[in-house]
Amino acid sequence: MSSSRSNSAIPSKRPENRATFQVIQWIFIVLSFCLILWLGKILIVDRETISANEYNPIGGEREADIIRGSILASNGSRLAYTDLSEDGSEVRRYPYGAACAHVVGYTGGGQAGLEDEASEILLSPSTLMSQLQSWASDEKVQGCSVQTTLDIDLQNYIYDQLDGYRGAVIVSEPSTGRVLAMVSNPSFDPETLFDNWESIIANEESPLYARATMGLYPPGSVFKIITALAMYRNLPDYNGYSYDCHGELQVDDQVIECNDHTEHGYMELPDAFAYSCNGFFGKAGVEMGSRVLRQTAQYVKLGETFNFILPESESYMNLSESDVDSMVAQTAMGQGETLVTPMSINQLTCAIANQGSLYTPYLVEAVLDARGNVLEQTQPALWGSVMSESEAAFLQELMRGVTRYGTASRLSGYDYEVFGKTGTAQVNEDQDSHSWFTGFTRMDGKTDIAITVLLENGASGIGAVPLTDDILWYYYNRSVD
Amino acid sequence: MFQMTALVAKYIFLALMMLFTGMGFYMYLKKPNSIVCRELFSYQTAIIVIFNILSFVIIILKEVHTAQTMETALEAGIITENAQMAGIKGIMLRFQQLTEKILPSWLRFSVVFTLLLYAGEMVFMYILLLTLHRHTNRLLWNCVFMLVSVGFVMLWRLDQTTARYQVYWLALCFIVINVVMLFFRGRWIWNIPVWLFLVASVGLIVLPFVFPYEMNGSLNWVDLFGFTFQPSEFVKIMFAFFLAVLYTKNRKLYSVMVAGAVTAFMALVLLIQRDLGTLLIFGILAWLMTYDYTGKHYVLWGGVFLVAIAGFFAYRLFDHVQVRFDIWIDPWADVSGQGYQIAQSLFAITDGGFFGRGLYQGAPGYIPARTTDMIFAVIVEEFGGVFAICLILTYLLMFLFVMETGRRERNQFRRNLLVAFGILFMSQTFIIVGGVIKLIPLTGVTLPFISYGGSSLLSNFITIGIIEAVIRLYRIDREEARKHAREGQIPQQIQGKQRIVLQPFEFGDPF
Repeated sequence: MSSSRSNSAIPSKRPENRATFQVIQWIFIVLSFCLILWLGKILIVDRETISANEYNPIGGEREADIIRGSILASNGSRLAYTDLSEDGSEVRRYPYGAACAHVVGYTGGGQAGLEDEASEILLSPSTLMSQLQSWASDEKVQGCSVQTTLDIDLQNYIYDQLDGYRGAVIVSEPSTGRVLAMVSNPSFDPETLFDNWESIIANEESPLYARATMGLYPPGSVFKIITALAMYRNLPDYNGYSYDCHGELQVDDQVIECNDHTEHGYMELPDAFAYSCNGFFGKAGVEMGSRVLRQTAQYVKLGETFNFILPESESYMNLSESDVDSMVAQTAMGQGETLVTPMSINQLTCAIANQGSLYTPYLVEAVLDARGNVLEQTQPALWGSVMSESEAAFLQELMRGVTRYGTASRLSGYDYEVFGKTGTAQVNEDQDSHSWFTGFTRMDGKTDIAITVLLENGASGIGAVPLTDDILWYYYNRSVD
Repeated sequence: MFQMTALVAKYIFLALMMLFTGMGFYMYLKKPNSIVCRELFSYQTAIIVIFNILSFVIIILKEVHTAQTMETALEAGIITENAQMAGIKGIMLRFQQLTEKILPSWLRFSVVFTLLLYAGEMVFMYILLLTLHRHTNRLLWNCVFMLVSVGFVMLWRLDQTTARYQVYWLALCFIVINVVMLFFRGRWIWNIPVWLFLVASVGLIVLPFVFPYEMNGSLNWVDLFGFTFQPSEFVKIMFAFFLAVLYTKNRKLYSVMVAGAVTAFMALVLLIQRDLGTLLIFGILAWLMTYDYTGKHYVLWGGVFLVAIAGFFAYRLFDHVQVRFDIWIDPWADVSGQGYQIAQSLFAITDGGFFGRGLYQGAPGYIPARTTDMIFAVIVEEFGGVFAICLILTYLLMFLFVMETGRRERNQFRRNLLVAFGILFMSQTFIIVGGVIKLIPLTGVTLPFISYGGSSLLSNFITIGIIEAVIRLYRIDREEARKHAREGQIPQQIQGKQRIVLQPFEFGDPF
């Protein structure tokens, strides 16, 4: 009885409540607030990085609510669209397949290209009203479509021409920044990509690699545009600068040879540029020094990217003042440790063609709703000034010489005028050199398009200049239906 | 219609939850008088009812939607009748065909039956609380019912079968909790000697070695005559009892040493069984109880130090500890392998954001153990971060409330027991929520009252039942003491004019 007494009605003594009680309470109050703050931190700070993780499967799940919009060429033909297959599931179709695979990209087990970069647009309902309707009716809503600037016939033609070569071609409009064609080869078919994933990944020619924007190549003689500009800006008597070419130039202990050891003889800048004399530019480069060369490269924004929608590699030029003269000479004629993307060379050409000012290159012309009404139109935007008008005019004059009587004389004699620069970039002893051409055309006195062609190890094959010839001929003479 | 409802409903759910939590904290912090409290309790109950009605509406709309989609698909010939019926054979098939002829296709027996059973259980339990279990506290009950409601709708959304089983378990829990509460009315229960609890704890915890049942690589399940359960869930209660009784003794050093030895044994067994979450809970319980018993602050710091040392050696000696820890440091190193679970949880959480996607609008299908340990991630995804924060606060409120009742308790054993239950409950919540959001390494324990799991639900309900029983005892003791004090006195109030005195609300008052 006594023991039960102690437990019942009249408490004998209240248990002491020491500070321990408060401490235990506070421990858990603090821990709970840690939980809340951490959750807040995840939702505010880490949200972007976590949801952008490549393993995140939830982005794909969103597509369950919205039918992914189409990607269109500038003439309205569908480059990518979602179709219902026989069993009612959705399939992504790519009618042009490999021709624009690197631009359009793919979606499914991963994403790339516009399918990745414009994914949010493609998966957003075109109007609030259509979203409300879809919520109310529980039917899937059609996502917005993206109209690109791609000239699909030209793109297709270039892709066919590139068959059998590795390389990249970019055609753009200097006066606006529109990209008309952007082809990288070898390519892949986005529709069957995930069925052949293993073999495509294993392919040594890396078909998934977007060479036009990501590929880094030695510029070869194309770099002489920059060296010539450096002369114009830094040598007061660049017009009187002369050199007597005997097919090679000795700098320190290195010999710089002209292509095929051609002896160009006595020449001044315009001829040296037109015939692409290595000795001339090597000597001029050594005389100006590495600082001037590097400054000029920075001046024309080599190494910068252009806010392009697709991922770009950064071109770079490794040349410091401690480098020996032979290295400076090599760099001045486009060898050395300089690596550039076809995209950056194309943008440099655009700037020259457009009197020094460069427009931001763009690929998305407009965002359309499901019925094809334009929701958003891209306006050409000035990226910045790359060089002065007189400098651009000077370079245009030099590039005119190349096609009139120089290394690309094959491109003259049409009703459109071509300006350009060729390049042959040596890779190493046992491999064929890369073949470059970059230039622009003028039609009826107005700048029309800029074209950059790169063929990997293709110097002894078709070569960049004949390929450009074909492409331009097609561009100006195709029958318009 | 369904999607629109789900999207609107998520804001209503959020508003309800915020109101509910707000009222709870208002009562806890301001302690208004009993009339106001009674009113607020009723509002909270109303919120729970509205919450459940809204979930039912969404569940039924979803069923209708699914049925419609199925019909359209059938008409379009995309799926054939056979494919739909595959897996259902014989009598079941005939039964289904029969019901489908009479009833609309969405009105399936299993759906309606489960919803009705669930609603019936909740209502019946509430009626019992108002009648049989007067003198218990409604705030605690409201919190429990709210958590169960969130758990039910979440489980249903994830997997109907799981939700159905949870409803069956809930029925068992409601029966058991009534038995427990009636049982604890007897005062003899508070005189059970300490060794009985010790035997019960140790006996239960080694049970998996005697009747092992392998489950996901864990060794803490028991298969006893066809019933599988997790004894560690019940060891928690027994262990809390053991410590509570032991720490009423005056021989402090002796008690602490005994407790230490038993805890070390438990820890070792749990380590072998790979039940790290429960191990952590036991450790925290023993540590804080010892601190409370001795009142020495060095116990607090010593515990932290001991955890660091033990953690270091566990990391070195046990592979599974090391793996857990490494994943916690960098889950992104191996997203498709070891870090898969936590990465999927974080993907879901960030997908939800502060306001969630709305019921059925998220994509929780990638999270492993989403109906049990990881359910918090799904809640964040579909109900939103703010809702989840309210949920954490609800757990905190329950803890604070249990501690509050412990503090005014006059019986040392019961006081210890309340503190122990409070610690158990809150540390379990912290360990799993913290694990899911990667604040601490993830160890698998259940989220009390929300996760699916019979053992866990039952043990949590038993805990709540005991707490409520103690509250009721206190209330009765106090009444008796008042009556005792009044005897021999001339009742003044009766002489003069009758005055209604508003008692300041004390937790544990009747409703």
